[in-house]
Amino acid sequence: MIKKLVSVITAALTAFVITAVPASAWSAGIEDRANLYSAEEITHLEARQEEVAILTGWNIAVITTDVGFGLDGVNAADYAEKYCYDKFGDDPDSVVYLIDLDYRWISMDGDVLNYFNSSRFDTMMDTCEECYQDYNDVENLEFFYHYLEYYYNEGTVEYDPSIGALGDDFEGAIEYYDDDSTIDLTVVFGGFIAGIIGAAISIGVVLARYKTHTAPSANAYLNRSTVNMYNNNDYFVREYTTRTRIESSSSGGGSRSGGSRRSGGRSRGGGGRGGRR
Amino acid sequence: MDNLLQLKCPNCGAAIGFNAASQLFICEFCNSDFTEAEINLANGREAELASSEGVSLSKEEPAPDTTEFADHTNLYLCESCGAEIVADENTAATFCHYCHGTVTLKGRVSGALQPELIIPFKIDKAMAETTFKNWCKKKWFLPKSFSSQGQLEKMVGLYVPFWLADCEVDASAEYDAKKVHSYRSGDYRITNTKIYSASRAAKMEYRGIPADGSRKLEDALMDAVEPFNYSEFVPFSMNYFSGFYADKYDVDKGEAINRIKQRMTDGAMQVLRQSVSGYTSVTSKGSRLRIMKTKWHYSMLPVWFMTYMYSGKKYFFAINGQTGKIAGIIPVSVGKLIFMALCFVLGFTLIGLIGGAAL
Repeated sequence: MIKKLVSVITAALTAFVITAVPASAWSAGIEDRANLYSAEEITHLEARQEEVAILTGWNIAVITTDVGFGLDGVNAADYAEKYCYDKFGDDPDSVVYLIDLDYRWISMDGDVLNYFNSSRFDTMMDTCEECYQDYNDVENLEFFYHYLEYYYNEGTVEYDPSIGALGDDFEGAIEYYDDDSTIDLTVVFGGFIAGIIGAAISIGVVLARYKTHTAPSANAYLNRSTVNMYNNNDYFVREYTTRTRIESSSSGGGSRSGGSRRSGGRSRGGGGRGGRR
Repeated sequence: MDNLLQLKCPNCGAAIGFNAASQLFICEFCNSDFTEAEINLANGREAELASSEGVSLSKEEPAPDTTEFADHTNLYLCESCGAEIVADENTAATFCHYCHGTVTLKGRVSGALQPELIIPFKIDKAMAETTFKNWCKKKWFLPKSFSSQGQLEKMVGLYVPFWLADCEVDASAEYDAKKVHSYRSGDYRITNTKIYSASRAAKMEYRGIPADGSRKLEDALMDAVEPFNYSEFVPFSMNYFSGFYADKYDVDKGEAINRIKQRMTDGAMQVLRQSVSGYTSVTSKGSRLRIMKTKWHYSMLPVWFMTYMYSGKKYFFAINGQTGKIAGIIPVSVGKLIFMALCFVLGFTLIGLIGGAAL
């Protein structure tokens, strides 16, 4: 009886531990290749990183580089993806923050994506970027951990294909791992409309060619050597100048790219900011 | 007084006709061929002979009649078989329906009505049919049954009376023109617009602008078989009518000049407009064309006419008897149009699907 009670309690505790602290959660620490942080700062930040990793059950890694990935973010994204895979292998629930002098990139995978839509991601990325641009490197990471923790506590976001959780608002896909990826219906609809317009134009061209006579121009009978242009004058009449304000669409020097969200299975998402400080 | 002219073979006396392929006069009975000079010589003798023997070549004068039919038709006697031939008032050459001989109504193409020039047929009937069938094969939207089930109801080679005008013209036009330069200065887009007034005037000469002189024929169809190669004009001879129909003009120069002037105006304005260059936009304010001098050439140009029956409806085609150019309005297969539209819609949607998935 006692043995049975012990085994039940053990099982319950095991279940609790498994639920409360995911076994896979692992803080991979900070790999400071760009020497942005002192040893004390790294100790402080890694402790905070581990705290968030235990809370969320996500693998978290930070890497700083001075590679200079370029401002389009493509290479930075690839690097972050590879780094994430090297650190965490096939474990899907992970987030990597790459801080490069040219580009900052946050790569998310698995369950992490359920907690971020474009709005949340932008808030986090913008705050971190502001700190980076102000040389507040410690605050940069503190905010990164803060938002991971905060949005985890806020709960998951509902997937809305029209607005997009993480991804549909982001420009530029990174990669897909599964076949049941969502399709941008706007593009499909655009193709459908283009097809209808193309068909209408083609029908018009066919009918015009089949239903009308085409006669050669009278200039087929013109003796070109006899053309005597005896009046060929252009007079300037007046001039005016207009000035129109250009609406700026840029957000101040940075650029961004991002990932995409899946409807099931595994995918990866993320985004970043470019620009050298 | 109108007379009938029927060419006869100098060898056997049978009716002979002009062969477009060989450009010779061929007798189908004795297989002889003759040049135009030989025919003139031989038939001149025959005519003289006939005259001396008192054989009448004159037409039977149409009896006065109050009916409209009688007002617009004339009755002739075929000199070969004596059959009665009915022709309308504009027919210049036709066939005897009994002996199939070509009959030229000389009075319709002589004196003031005599054409100055003629381009002989170079495309014969078989070639015209082949040209038409090949043309149909290239028309993908033509109903498939059009070529296979349609019936070539009638095909006739007709010398169409054409007025050709050599015109010296004086054309002028006024334009408003704009030069627009745009550049960025800070947060502003600066657009500078300069307005000019341009005037152009030129004298030019058009050679042989054609307008058909037949009211029966659709002008647009006749315009569409152009151009003819004028280098192959020969002095008019009634001999070329043999084997073909011919009309005399019933649209005079006064009416033809209106069509020709419109065509020249379009052409001359195009020449003037092309000389206004270097501007962002050009708008015409007004134009004028004056014809300074006109020289007319009354000519006969070769055209094959086809009437094609398809689904109970008649389609008319014209083939340039010299170059083989085809003009005519053809039916379009609704099924093929729908198929094309579906291909477009599905193709673009598929591209959208692939593009949408890649984003």
